[in-house]
Amino acid sequence: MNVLEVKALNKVYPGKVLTQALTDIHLSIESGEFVGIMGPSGSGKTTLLNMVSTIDQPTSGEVNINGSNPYRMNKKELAHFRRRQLGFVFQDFNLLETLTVAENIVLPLTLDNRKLSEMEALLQKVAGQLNITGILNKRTYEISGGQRQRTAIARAIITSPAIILADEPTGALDSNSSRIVMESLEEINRKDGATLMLVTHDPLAASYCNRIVFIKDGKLAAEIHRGDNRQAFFQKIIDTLSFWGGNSHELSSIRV
Amino acid sequence: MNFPQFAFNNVRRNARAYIAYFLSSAFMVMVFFAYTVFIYHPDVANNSMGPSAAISMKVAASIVYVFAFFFVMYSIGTFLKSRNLEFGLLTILGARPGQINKLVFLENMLIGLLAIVTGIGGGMLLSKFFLLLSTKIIGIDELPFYLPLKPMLITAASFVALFLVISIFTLLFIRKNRVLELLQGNAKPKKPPKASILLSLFGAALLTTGFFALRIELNPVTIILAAVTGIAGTYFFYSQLSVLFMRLLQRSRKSTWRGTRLLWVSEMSYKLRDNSRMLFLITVVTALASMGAGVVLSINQAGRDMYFGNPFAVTKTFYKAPSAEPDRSEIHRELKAAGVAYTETRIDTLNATLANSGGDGNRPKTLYLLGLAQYKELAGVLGFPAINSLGPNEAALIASTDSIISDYIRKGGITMKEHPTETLAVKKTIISDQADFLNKSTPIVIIPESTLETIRAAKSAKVGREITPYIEYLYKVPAWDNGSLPTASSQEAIVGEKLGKINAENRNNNSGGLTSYLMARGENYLLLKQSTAMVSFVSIFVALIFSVASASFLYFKLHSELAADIRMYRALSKIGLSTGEMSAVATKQIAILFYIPIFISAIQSLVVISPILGQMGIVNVVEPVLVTFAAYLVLQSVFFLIVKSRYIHSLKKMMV
Repeated sequence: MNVLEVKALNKVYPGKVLTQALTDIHLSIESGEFVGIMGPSGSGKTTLLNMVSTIDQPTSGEVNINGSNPYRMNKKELAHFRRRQLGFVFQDFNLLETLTVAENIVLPLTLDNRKLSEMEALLQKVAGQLNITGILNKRTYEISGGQRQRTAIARAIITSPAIILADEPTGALDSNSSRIVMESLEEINRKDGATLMLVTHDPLAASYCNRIVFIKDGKLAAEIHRGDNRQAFFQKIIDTLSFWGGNSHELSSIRV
Repeated sequence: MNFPQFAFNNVRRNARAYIAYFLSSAFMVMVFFAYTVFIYHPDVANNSMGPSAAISMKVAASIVYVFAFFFVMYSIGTFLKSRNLEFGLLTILGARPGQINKLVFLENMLIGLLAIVTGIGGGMLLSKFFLLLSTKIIGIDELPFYLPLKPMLITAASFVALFLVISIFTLLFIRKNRVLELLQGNAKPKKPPKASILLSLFGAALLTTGFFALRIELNPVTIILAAVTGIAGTYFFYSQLSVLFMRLLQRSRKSTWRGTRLLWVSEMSYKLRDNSRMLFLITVVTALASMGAGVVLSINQAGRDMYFGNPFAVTKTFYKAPSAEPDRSEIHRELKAAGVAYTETRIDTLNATLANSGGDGNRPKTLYLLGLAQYKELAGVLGFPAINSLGPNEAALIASTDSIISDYIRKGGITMKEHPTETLAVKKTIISDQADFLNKSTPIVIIPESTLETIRAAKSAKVGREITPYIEYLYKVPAWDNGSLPTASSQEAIVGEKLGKINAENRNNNSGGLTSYLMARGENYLLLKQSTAMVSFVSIFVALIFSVASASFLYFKLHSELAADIRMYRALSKIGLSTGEMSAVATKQIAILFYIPIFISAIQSLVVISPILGQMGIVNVVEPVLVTFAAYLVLQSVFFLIVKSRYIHSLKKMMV
């Protein structure tokens, strides 16, 4: 079953200079898939993610998430849809520093007025999964970047959303934290069967995916699948990037 | 672009942020100026009420000035904090610390001078109206408009000094040498609000001390003690107790993990902590202003009750009758001159004290004794029920509606200290709202003439000289009892004023002590009204300023945090916070900031006013205080709605 279905998506930014950000994008993500979106700066990755995240309107085409079209909803329904069906992981975490780690994680549930006992049970479950049980009562500025991102992931998965959207989740992290964060995402995908869509510049991060879609100048450029070996997949990513975007040496500097 | 131009452009292009601050500064200058125009008016000294009005305006002007000082200082402090990033950039670009100081100084002075000019300009336009209004309300002769050079100079000098001192003072705020710190500016994580349990307990103890100090005994020492502990306690209430309360609230998952509460409760604890000093200041001044207004309204109310409770327009009391028919020709003359019909009633009353009253710090309870024959006449005039006869040990009681009868009648009778052997059985009790003509809190006991004479003789024997009853002549003028209050131009007021003058002259001419006293209820009422009108006039303007300034400060504070809030709400809207929920969260926070000082100061006013007015014999205080706060609430609500809609409007644009 397809969790996400993008059909003939076009996005034009109007203005003095018309910008065709996305052209005729078709993309389906099946339940339980872990899909990466890669491409150089300005290729339209973030625009695509914004369309899927329902925070930007497509000019034409259709986006279906879990069988419903979010662009036919009113603002309130849309907010509820995001809260229940989508999980977000951002590059800069977007955690509230006035709240503790635990409060940040349960925030989407409290907005839905869930029962306290249910929230506490879910909190313990996701915190255990992401190995952050020990820091639940800390404030967000007292913990490391990797712990913050795992908190954000916990907040994203606590509602058991249809799809988790991660926008450069390792962009602000060092290599060790990046590894832990990516392993956490992979584990969520593998053990819980969560569906993930990851937008990244980082080939190493992308190598945790099952499948990678490359975008260049707003068009789908290539698609590669992972076999059993992550090392080989990483090499494949580098090769594809250099084929579509120039040479492999140049690409490493694209990281934000 | 030279340096002053740079400063000027900074202010001009940041006008949206500065405007509220500028307007409220200008408004304060304006009101201060209006007061000085009145104070230094050349005709004020020649006016009867003028000098005392000028004194209360001086007090008001100084309160405005002190408040302006704190307001400007906090506002600038907040402003500078929000501009750390800019100062960091300037430093990186090579600006010397001295240059940044100069920039801040120039900006402050620029706004200050503009506010002074605008304030005085506006004040000039307003002063004619202000003079007209103040003379009308206070009830003195109209003051002509004049060219207020001296007030202009005084206002300009005072406020230039204020802005100068604060501008120099604020330079201390930006003594942060580390560029990195400045560049990080507001992005630095905010420290969570912390409350010390010890300080919270101390604050609570201070508030309790203040509360009980006023109730145990009322004297200057306890009043000052209550003021000091109350004000200090209020400070701790905002800086410690409120934070502690929020922390405890947050600790309970059951109460906070629900809906948007998790969001706004945690945000609120930061906002309360950050604004605690300003909230404290607003609360204290609001409480002071409304205590003033509350006292005034209560006194007015009491004055009205007194007027309506007295059925007699004029009363003359002779403490020691010079002859069987004492002289009261001036009353007859004036009433005849006014051409109104009147009735004259004479009553002879004797003071008595209730037995077994007094002691334990309570004052003994007094009574007026009146002979039956005179009561019959009085009852005819007032339409009181007739009493045909009383036995030697029988009595009747007349009391006003406010009296507590059970204090006087024990086991169905009254026993007096002067006549302890007999208990007079009370045959009839008359409770009337027309019984205030002698003394509101003292009931009248009607007894047969024979008993009266016995008591008089007993009293005389006790003090060793002949005691004679007070002779009171009561004048009822039906034409004046029309159920409405007299105005300065009504006949009752004019006649009352003339009689009041005669009474004052008699008092001055007679050096041998007070032998008689003339009271005209219309004159009493108007004198009271005039003096309270002045206080209420002055306190209305002061309260207005505080309301405007506090609203502007809060607007300004919210504006400076808007960028951070926009970032937060935008992120939240991505994860599914709807616009309606955002609006609810933001509204709750702004509402708490706007309304909490009002509610706290309302409670404080009630706590402080009731014992003070209780001492003055005024019981009905809740209503006047609530009226004052209702007016304040309406005003504050207007500002709240403006600020809230602007704030939410900016946030709404950023919701995805």
